[in-house]
Amino acid sequence: MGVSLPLSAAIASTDIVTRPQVNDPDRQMIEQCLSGHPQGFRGLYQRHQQRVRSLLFQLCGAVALDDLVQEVFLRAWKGLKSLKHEAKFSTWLYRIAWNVACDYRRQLATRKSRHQQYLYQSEPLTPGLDLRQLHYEDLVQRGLATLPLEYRSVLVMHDLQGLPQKEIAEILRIPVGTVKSRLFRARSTLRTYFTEAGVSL
Amino acid sequence: MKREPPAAEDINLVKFLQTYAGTPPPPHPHLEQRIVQAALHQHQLRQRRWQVLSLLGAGAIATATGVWFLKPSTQVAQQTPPDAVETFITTNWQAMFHDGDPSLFE
Repeated sequence: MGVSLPLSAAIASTDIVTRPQVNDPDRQMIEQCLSGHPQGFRGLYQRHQQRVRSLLFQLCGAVALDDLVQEVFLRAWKGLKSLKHEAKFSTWLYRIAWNVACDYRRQLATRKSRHQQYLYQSEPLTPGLDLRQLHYEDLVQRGLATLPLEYRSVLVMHDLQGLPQKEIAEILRIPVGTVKSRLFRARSTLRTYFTEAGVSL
Repeated sequence: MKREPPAAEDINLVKFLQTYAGTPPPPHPHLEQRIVQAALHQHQLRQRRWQVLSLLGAGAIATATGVWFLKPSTQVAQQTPPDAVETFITTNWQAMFHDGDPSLFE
């Protein structure tokens, strides 16, 4: 399934908040990319694709995952020149992933076709898992789906991706206090949801 | 910079989420190659665009320079005093029409 997303957000995403010099382990690969060597880009992809993929999966589902991952890395490739030297690559890349996720969800909301609904329903189940596992996985996905994207993204980044609140604030360009309050609300909403579904936590 | 640990009442919830969040499906086997190829293609396109632009720029500069240096200078006709034969012919020829005797042509 091809996904075409607007580039406006990507362009906006390139100037991440600067901060004091960061010893970024990706810097060497970035320099390689800037001089046109694909090996550097391949290295960046291999290093970060799993986390980007996981974030996009939690925010957008599995239907167009490969296309979304590709979109994120191509936007990153295009915007590498504008990445400030002080900015941390992973934070910047997460910002792009967040923008791609927002664009995708907006696009889905505007033209949610029956075909896509069908695809969503017919997502293949992971083989080799027991029913209990599948039931809880489904429950978590449904629970996450009840959250507004702003809360869901904070919860996914913090509790599932393990990002610190300060970095999440930089990625989403919101104050740390807002991250905290969104995390609190997201957790309490989910707890209520799970309790109503018969899971006491 | 590390993630802040969850509050005591959230520990079970966070563990539950982490256990059952699910894992994304594996990527298409050629996804990495596809992305790198697409990036390279973009890079080549960008290079080609620069080449075309620099060629156009060089052409424009060459044209402007050519126009400036090869502009033909204004030619002024040289006026030399008419020689005697020319004066004689001009005078007589004009005299034939203006001062001549009409009966000559009848």
